[in-house]
Amino acid sequence: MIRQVPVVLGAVCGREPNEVEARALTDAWSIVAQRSNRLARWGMALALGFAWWSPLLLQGTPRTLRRVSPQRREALLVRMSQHRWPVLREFVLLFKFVAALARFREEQAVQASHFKVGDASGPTGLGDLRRAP
Amino acid sequence: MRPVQESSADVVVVGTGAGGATAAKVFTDAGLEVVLLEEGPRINRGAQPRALLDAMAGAFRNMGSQATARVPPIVFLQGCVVGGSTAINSGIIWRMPEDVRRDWETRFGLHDLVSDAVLDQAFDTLDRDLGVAPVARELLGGNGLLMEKAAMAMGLPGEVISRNAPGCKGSARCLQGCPNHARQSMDVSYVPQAESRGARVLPLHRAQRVVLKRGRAQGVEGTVLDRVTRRVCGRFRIHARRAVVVSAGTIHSPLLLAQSGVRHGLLGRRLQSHPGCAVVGRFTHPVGMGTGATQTYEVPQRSRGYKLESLSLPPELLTVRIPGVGAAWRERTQDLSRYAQWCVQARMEAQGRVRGRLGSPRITYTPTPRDVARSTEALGVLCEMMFAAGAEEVYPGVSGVPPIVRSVDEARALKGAPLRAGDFHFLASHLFGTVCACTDPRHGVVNGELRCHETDNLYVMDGSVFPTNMGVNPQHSIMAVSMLAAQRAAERLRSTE
Repeated sequence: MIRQVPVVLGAVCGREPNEVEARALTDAWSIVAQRSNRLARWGMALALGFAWWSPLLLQGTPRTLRRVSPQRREALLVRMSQHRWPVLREFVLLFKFVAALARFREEQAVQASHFKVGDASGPTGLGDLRRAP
Repeated sequence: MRPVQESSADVVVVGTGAGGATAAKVFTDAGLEVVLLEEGPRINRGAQPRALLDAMAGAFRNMGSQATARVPPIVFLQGCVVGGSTAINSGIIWRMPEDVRRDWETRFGLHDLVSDAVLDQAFDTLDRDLGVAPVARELLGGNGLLMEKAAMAMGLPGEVISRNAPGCKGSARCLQGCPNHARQSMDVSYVPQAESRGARVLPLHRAQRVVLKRGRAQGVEGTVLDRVTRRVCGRFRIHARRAVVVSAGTIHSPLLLAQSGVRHGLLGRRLQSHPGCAVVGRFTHPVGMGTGATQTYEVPQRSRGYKLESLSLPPELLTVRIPGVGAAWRERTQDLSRYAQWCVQARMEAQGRVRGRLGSPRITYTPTPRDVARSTEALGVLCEMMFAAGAEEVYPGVSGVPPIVRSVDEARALKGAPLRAGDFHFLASHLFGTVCACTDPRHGVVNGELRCHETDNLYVMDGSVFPTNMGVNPQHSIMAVSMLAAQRAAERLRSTE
């Protein structure tokens, strides 16, 4: 499951993360997953699974999220974020939250930018995340 | 077999939040030997995490993921740390409103706890002890100042929030734990005061059962948790010579009582709350949400059943509220300095229930249609206020309406939008009612002394004993009521020596 995290969250951010950023995202996801309650953990697993497999399920193509275009990944998440099921919308909020946690993980990044991410020109748009371990 | 830590005290208090810490202080002042049990860790001065992720992992119950089981999933935020939820709230102080006092007197017989003479005296003491005062002008921050501007423009009855943070430096980090220990949460006020008089605080001790024999609480049993993994690494048993006080909060107090063998038809029922949601506005100029106190300005609309507040959040949480995904979201989150965020807290009439076991509660709570209408109206007012303050676009943050509102007319139209409960992303931190107090044992689990009916020395002192919600922030009321109940309990315990 954990390998799916960077791709799904990359779709939330609009670009696929590089290796370092993917590690930070996975790290943030792991902490959220470990410390939350059982219901939330199930929800997260379902959310990831849904986001990962839904191109296959919804579009009838034998492709998982990694293999569809970034535009289609985004389109999927837009559909999830506007869905009438509150749980699906909550999933998108959760994805955004984890992406933001990774982005602002280091206090330095927050202080340096003071709510303004200085370097957004990198490959992911996650800005200072590049400096995460 | 893990070893069992054995010890004893006059009074064992389960929980170090507003109720438990206040009770412990009163008991130690009365010369009683007290042990305070806390499931969460103690976070020492200077050790508060800077990153929100670490703060949530260290101090929030279930990392802030405790939610109701039905649609809509409502997040119930609670602290799980020495100081309880007082260590993660904004320190907003309100006295119990007049209408709530009269209601509790007439319907629940709680005259001894809420009559004006005794309650206001307790509030005066708390105000002095915790340095309660309105937020200083220089700490209002850009977020609060904008809300003040909007309230004045629309003729709404706004006011500066009163807080218990006399040395606040405006670092807007209440949620992560005050870095300056300015907010007088229980971990820096009543808990250390109780410790200075001999109380022992045992963090990472999870109470599992109050030992009851022949109508008397004999002590508390539970497990010791590892600081890093939070897995069980030992067991404890503490003998209570005089009394046990359960102050585990509105979700866990009823579960602990049920696991201990207390039986009552109302245990875990009548869960009430003030769920809220937030609105974000984007301005053409920097707002300065990262400076000033976390919450500084409010617009109470008591007759309408809601309260509007400014709420400065860390960027990790603010970005979640910004609409869109992918490139559009990334673009909007590049410069977070131009956003302001305000929230609504609705006094809902819905009543829910807590079931299950300690550690895995099943919480059900569904807002009624009237609650939804109330929240919808408040949401529209907030959006209108944003435009009155000069916002260029506003994000209502609910499904079923446009994600971006661009004019004041669109904002006004929101007040009558046909929204359902499932369209909102509600969050609540004010919880009440699952161990309801009433002098009539048929209508309350605890009596007017906050002692369980049918038991001699088992008390409950936290928000769970409140028979109704209040429409205002409850910390001060929980502390005042606990103070009065603990004073009477101490007198009673000494008289039966």
